[in-house]
Amino acid sequence: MGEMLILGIETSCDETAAAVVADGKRILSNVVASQVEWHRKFSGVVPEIASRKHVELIGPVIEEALLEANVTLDDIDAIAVTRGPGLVGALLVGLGVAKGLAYATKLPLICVNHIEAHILANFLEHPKLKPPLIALVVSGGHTALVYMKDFGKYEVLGETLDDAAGEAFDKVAKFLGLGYPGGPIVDELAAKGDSEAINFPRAMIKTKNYDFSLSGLKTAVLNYVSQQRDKGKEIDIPDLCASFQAAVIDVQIYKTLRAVREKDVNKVVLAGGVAANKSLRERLKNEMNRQGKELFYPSHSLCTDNAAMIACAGYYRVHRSCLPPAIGGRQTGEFKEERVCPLDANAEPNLSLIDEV
Amino acid sequence: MLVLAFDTSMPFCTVAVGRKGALLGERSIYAPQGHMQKLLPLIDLLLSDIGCDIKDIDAVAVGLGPGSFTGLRIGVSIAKGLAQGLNRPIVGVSSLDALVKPFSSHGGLICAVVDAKRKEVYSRFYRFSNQNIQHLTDHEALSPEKLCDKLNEMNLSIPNKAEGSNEVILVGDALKLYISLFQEKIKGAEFASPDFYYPKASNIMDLAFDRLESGECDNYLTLVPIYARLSIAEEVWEKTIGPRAK
Repeated sequence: MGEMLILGIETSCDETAAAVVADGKRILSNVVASQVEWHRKFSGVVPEIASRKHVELIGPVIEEALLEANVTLDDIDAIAVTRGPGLVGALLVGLGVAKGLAYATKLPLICVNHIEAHILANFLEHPKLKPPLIALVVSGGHTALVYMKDFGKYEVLGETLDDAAGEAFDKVAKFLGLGYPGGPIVDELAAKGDSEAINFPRAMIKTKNYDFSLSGLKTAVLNYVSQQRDKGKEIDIPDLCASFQAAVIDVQIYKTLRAVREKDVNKVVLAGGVAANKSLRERLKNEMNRQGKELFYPSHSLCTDNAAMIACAGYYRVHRSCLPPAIGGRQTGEFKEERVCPLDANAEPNLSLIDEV
Repeated sequence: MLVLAFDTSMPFCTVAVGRKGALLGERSIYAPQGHMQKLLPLIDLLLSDIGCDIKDIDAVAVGLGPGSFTGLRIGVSIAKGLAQGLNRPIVGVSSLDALVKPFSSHGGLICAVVDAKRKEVYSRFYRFSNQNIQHLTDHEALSPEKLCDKLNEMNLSIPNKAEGSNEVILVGDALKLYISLFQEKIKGAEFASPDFYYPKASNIMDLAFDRLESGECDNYLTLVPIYARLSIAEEVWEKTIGPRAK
């Protein structure tokens, strides 16, 4: 066959995941153990609980990924693992297991940036896709606008200055008592509401940079609700969700389109859990199509945290000269010494895309 | 049978390799916050020092704590990866058991006391009979004051003490913080010297051999650290929302 099989391992937040991917595009298995049930009663991810669950789940999840792919560790050519960004205690579990596995099997270990992997999930889904492009990364932990010049070449145009997009959805849903996680719930309710019912602020839409801010919007929602309650007025939850969601999305779309013009690209990709938001997908797709340009996004299971995208990112790091910074282990075939993760690799909770280039 | 043993529950990263009753090498370094970066290089160094390869290892033994949550998870995660990668058994050992192992010829009560932060200690009570470890209590986190009361009570109740073994030996790094309290409150207390404040991988290894010999081992799919405490979020929930929810 000659295909390169990469075992991907991901534990950066509250999903324990492992996957086997051939040549960075053919998914042989993609196993995700969600911890959402354990975090629900806290209406958010509790880092210590996430870390404990990762230790419990990681062995069975890796085993399942190998079984489902119908391979053993002997068939694997390299191991790819998320080293950041993410929750440090959570990252350490996946990195520890991956380092132990790599050292014992003498397989090369490739350390992967979680954000880059989210962007590359689009290439897993659409193998013919090629940079340059603009990526809008929106998830529970991240909100960033990224210019991808080429594989491994990124420019972070802007980021959130406070809450991540998914975090804002979770907080608003928690405040309204709608449940957890907030993104899908708000998205669903918003579809039944009027997005122009309440005029929430479009934070930073007029600033010349590409940064985002969501904490002001969150406060505006809380203020609106308490004002209505004080007045004894009923709150229309679908209208509120639709108006809140529109305020988030308007700014994201506006800035994405501005980046598309400035960087003169004709492709945009969505990445991260919030990329599953239907309204964001539809509206951005319409805007892009109107300009004769294309929008790509991964299917739902590749939007949210998963290890197939980690294996894919590991493949691109090796094969598209997206050289990882350092990496250690055995020198085999196509791998060069400097590409193999060193035994002393550590988790990097604040790893940025720029650190990798 | 060649066993690789390590412990990362405390600020020391400690690694040992050996056969039953024959330690081949042991290395320990002070590496608070550095276990993820230090453990595998230390294992690699020790293996090359004694002329072994990781593939020669027949079983992996790891200290399960209690201790630093992060430290425990680093040790257990790396141990799981090694065991799965080597397709060899994994054996989890209490880090407190390893602490008291050097005192196996003492006839009386032994108490492991480790700093658990938040003004508490992790503790467990032991006796040895014919060098065999006996657990009198389970691992628990409690205030040093409560520990004193419990220990005094327990010491009185132990029957058939060997002659001259009325004293209780306390072992562990909590002595750094609470030795004067223990001196004042615990009757007949003896204190281990600072050399014994942290578990050593060679003691993890000895205890692992005991388990392996009796045909016991753990599974890398299910092995978890001994936390002896809930997460703070769960503790708060249990105290506030939990009772109302019930």
